[in-house]
Amino acid sequence: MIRNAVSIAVLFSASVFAVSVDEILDKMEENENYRTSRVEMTQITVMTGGRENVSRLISYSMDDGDKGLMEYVSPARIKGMKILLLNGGDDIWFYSPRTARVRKIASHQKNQSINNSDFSYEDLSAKDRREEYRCTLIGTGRKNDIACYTIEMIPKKKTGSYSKAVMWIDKEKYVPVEGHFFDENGELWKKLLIVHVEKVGKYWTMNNIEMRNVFKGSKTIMNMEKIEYDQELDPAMFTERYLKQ
Amino acid sequence: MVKPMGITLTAAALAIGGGFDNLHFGGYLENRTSLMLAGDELFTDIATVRVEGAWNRKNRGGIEAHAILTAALQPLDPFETFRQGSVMERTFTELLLGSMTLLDSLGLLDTTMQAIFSSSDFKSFFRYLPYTSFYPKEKLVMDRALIKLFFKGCDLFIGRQTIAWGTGYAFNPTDIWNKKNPLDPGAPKTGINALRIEIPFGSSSGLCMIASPGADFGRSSGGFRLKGTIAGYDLSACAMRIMNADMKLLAIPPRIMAGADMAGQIGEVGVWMEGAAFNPVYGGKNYTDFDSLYVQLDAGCDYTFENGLYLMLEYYYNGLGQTASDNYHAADLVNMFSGAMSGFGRNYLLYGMRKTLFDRFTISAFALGNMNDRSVMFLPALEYVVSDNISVEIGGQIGIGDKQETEYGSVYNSILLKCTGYF
Repeated sequence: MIRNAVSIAVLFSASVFAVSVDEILDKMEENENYRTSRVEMTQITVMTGGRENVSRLISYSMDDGDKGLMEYVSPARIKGMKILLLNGGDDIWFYSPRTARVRKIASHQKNQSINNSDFSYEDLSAKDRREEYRCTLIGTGRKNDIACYTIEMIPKKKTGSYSKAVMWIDKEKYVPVEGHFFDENGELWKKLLIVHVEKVGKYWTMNNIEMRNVFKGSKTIMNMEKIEYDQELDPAMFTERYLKQ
Repeated sequence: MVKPMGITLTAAALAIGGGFDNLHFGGYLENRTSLMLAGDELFTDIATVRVEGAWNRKNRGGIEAHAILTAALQPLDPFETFRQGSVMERTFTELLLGSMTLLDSLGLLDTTMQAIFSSSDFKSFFRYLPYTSFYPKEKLVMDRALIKLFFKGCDLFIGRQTIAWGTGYAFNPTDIWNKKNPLDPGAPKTGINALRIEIPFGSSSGLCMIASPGADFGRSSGGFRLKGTIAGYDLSACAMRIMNADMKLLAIPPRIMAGADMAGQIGEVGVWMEGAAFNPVYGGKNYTDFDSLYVQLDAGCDYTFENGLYLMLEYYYNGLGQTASDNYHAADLVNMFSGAMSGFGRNYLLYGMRKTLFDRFTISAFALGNMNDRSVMFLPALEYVVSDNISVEIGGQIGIGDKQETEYGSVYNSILLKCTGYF
């Protein structure tokens, strides 16, 4: 009986929406189809009491986000700290210039915040949506006054810290408008708000995003000030060797 | 784009070609005040300024220099650190008397010093010397001063540099370069003079070769470390021939070391393991090489819960250590000062937790136990991040165990206030 109910629901949803979830994901991936990226950004974390932590960093990515590198420029306390993400974020190494030591991040640390922000290592990982999640188109409508598709993403394997994510995707630009992330108990944990989107080259780009931690009441704003796509990047940057240079 | 360079390229040539856009300065100022809860409480206060300068030419090389100025505003009286009559005080005194005997045999002591050669007279003499006799008021150390040259297939690091081998947290048997204090595992490692070549094989694999020069080839250290990743585990193997600069003064033998380490995870639990076998060569003392072979091992695991609570456990086997406190002697202190081991005992266990509260506070409680003499050093701490670049930490060292016959029980309890500002 349960199986029948699911089948009816699937048939019903397929007939209601003019596009399939795969078509939406295809269009999103088309927009993210840059070879490389280099982004200079400011990260502002607003603590529960209203105090702010400001840091500046440069991030690089290549091979469809399979390889990533983040390098902190300020404040002085963490200047020179580097984070290397390989295999879409499955393997993460952390380098501290003061200890001159490269340390591999175990998976239990991936849900922890980076530099006291509301982003975790896991949030920065570039996962293949269709490979990692069971994606379902659950609705259409308006979010923040923008016509959107609503996609529910449930992890296929219990490897991350979220039990579910719901994303609202701009019907015109095929970039997220808002995202909700739920904890193991199904409670809303974090909200990702896309504050500003603009076209950089041929790609629609979220250049101002905000992650809100609903439980803590804190938020982190990432303001991308300089974005470059498809520039030549040296693959040697995405190695442990580069971290130590 | 990587551009190969000739071996003759010098730092000067790098500087001429690069301009000063990539010149960076930074550092920190740290003040450590401790209150030792002895009979008459004792204050110590040490201020440290670290100035870091670096000039980097992307993909080609760079220059790096770090200087550390330490000012002992109120130095510690070494004879007051341990309880009177304890095993630790006995060992410490034994070491100083041994040094005096050696100096005397070399004819380096004058008649004044020779006249006070008993243990108690010796201590009295030293205790009433100005503090600066033990610790210079200011000490300037060049922690890093190196030239980095990046070639297509390798990187060359020449000069004083930090080398941090091993995966252990509080103990690193394979790190023969640094004198690690397990009571302060996060302390920066000091630089050594070396020529280091790093040859990468892949994104996280490579060969590291090191030569650390002494007065001549016979007194130089050298070796290699081969690193790779297999099935998600970072693995490495290393071998070194180790000489110590103080080998003559402290009678430290040259050693051969072969070691290995790993880091990875089992399920979601982080695990690491590190081990090394050492073979000191006691020339002319009727030892054979294998009589003196010893092993040091370290293994640990950690886990972070979703709420941010971090737990860790680490075990250290010190084959050079003693199984009973009766056997603690000056030779063990020499081994500790030379960095050959990190404690008197044979077996140690470190365990603890850390949790960030209200974004700016981090509480931690670690305990380091000497399993042989059954003493524990409990290390609670609270850190407050005042602003992006200023932090304040208040901590304690509480020795638990027999007050006379154990490593940590015989140390007076103390409270530490550490303020750090970065620039």
